[in-house]
Amino acid sequence: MLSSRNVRRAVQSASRKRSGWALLAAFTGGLLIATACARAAAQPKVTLEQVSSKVYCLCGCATTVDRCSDLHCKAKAEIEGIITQDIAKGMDEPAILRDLVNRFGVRILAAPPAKGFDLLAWVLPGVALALGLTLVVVVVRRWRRKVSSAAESDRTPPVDDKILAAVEDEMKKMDSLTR
Amino acid sequence: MNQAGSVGLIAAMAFAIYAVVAGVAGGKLRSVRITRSAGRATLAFFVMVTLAVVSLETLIFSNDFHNAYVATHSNRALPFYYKFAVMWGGQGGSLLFWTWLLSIYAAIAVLLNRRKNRQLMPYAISFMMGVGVFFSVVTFFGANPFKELALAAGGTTTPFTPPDGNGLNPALQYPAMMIHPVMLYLGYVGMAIPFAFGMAALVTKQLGDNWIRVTRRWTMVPWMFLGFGILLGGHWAYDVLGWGGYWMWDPVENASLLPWLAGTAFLHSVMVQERRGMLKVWNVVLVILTFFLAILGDFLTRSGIVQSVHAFAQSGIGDYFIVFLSIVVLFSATLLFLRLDFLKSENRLDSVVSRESGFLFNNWILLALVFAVLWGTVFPIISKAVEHKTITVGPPFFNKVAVPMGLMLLFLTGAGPLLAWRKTSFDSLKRNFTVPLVIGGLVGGVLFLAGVRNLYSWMSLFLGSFVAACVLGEFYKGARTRQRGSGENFLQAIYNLTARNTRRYGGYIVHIGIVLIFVGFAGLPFKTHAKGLMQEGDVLRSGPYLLRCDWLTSGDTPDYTYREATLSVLKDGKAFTTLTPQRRFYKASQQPISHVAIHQSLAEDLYVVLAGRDQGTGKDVIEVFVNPLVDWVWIGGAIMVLGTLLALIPSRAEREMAQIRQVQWEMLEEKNAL
Repeated sequence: MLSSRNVRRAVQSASRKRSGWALLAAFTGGLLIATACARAAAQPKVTLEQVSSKVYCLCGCATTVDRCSDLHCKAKAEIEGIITQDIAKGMDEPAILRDLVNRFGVRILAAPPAKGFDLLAWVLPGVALALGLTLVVVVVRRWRRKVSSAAESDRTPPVDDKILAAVEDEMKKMDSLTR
Repeated sequence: MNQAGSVGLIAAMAFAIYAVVAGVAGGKLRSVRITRSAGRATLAFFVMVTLAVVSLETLIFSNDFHNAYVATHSNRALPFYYKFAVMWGGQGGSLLFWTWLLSIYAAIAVLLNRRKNRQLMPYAISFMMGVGVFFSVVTFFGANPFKELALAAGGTTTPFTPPDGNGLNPALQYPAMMIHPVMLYLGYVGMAIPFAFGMAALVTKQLGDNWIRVTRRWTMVPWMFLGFGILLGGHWAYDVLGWGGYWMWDPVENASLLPWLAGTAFLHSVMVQERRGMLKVWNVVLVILTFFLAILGDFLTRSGIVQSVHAFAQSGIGDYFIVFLSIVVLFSATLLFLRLDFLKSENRLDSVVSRESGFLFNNWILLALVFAVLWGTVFPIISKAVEHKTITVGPPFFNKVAVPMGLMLLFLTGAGPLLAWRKTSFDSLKRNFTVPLVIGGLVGGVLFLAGVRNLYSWMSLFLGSFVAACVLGEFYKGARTRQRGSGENFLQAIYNLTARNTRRYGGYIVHIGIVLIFVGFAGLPFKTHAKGLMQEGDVLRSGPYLLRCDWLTSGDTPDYTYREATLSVLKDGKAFTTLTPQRRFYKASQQPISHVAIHQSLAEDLYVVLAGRDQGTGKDVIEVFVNPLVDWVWIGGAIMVLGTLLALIPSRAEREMAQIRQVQWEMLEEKNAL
């Protein structure tokens, strides 16, 4: 039978857990709202520098147009001229980039287009990230399952959060004093 | 001297081959005598490579242009101090330099382990010298810096000595270039030592704590050098390339980042093995991967396989590297597979919310980042092979893919150390995370209200303040605990706390350095740029700054001609500073380069470039960049180096443990001898 003290402890423990989750949820929610606001508030305006940082200079300098340091670079001057004209026509960034690709080919883009074979360039890092996460989760779950079954067979009672916290505090104190 | 250098290289090659064979024989036969002989051959390898290096330096300093390397990369007017940089200014010299650094590392490893790690050492020597054989072979046969110039005519060749050389690449004539390549190479080459010890541990099946202890320290040293080298490279790009930035996701820059990231993953996951006996296979994989990426980086830099502003000219040495990399992968993978039974975890994960999990997630993101950067770097080659078309993968790709991962890592930099080993209770989570989250939230809110609307900048500063609060909180809590126990004052407590656990608190200082670097990154989107044609008396405005061109002068030195602008700068209408950017034209190499003038401050840099002269108007072109927060990148990098140095200093407890281990080992040796 549960004593009233145990019931109180259980209630307190559950309450602590709930407030922990609430804190985490508030943090995550706040983060999402703030990032959404930040993103929404950002008003992109097409500039020469913005577009020229997304296209490669074709003079062989192996840098984007905005970083080509050759003052007399004809390729840079030509590309910047086209971008300036396109901006004056009121074209947005994707349209300017399309115009540049039509004139010079896909090699002018500083990032591969997200279509056809080149889509792989964009997709695979995300796939690797997802696969890595899956692997980590699978490993963690497998390890946890083994621990659970081992713990069940040991029939050891679960450790109270309060005791665990006290032990952690003691260990930290010991750690700070001795190491 | 050419002959002396070649003899040195051939002898070094011979000693390295002998050391490989003697190391294996010493290990197999358990012969101390043969192992010592292998060690001495390693020292002889160092002496012979040193002879080759001294020979090349003598040729460079004596302006011996009969030597093809000296004629291509040096000239008479090159200042004395930059003649050292000629060593790494070209393919052959830098390969020789790389080999020399390897020989220094290997010699130190042999000398430091004369009485230690006796089972590992024979094989560790073999692996180190195996790498030595490779580099001496590539240097001698692939890009020998001791070749002489000769004129071929009518079927005969006659020796030829030009009156002067072509000179050193002007971009390399910069103070940081005296140490940037050295640091970078120390980082790349040094990864061979943990690899050698890891492989030796696999061969000998000595896969307990010992190899991890040895390898961790041997990884931290090159990791620090590599990080410092990357930072110096960024500083060089900022000061020399004249586009107002320090990182352009160039393939060669990426190549240096890859082993650093893999090494970072290893330095974290190794703690899980030390504390909990877990992730053993993973740690071996990371040691191999780090070394593989270091060699791959060298391959990308030297083979000309990727288009880069840094890469050496295209050469045929790529084949050597492909063969060597294939051998490394095949051999290490096979050995790892054969030893899987010896690498079983001693423990299991007690809780998902634990320090172990934190490290797992840290490794997940680091490795995903390694993949993303590597993938982006080599994708143009793959696309060319598959689709037969030329594409480029540059900053827009990497910024989109890598920056979010970097921010996730930044979060873990703060959150990880707050998690307890085995299991973290809800109370503990609440207690440890509340203050940092509140501080992060406050900073984030204030920034948002202050108008910081760029997502990445906002995230960097928000997470940065969260991480700083986490890490500084650890110092505070530790010091308070010490104070209660010992009665020390707060500063004494901080000092003693750090001195007693240099590794942990050195690591925390590294984390603070990371935060500051991200603060520097946060300023990137707010960079402004102005450009104008100027003559004496003209003014140019950029944000709050007004630049007035006072005078323009030209000059001549033995090495270069130059044009210099003297600009008075007013900020908000008040006299602020005077800047003198230069445009130089190097006579020997016939190449121009800008020498940027920068007014640095913690808030922002005023960065002025004299880009050249406009052909139409005859006026000088001045470019002005205002770069917010850049200095925090350098400060953060310096703090990271300091933190790593601190973590490398053994704490008292570690020194005592090492002494105990040494006594135990000597007693065991005596017992075995009896």
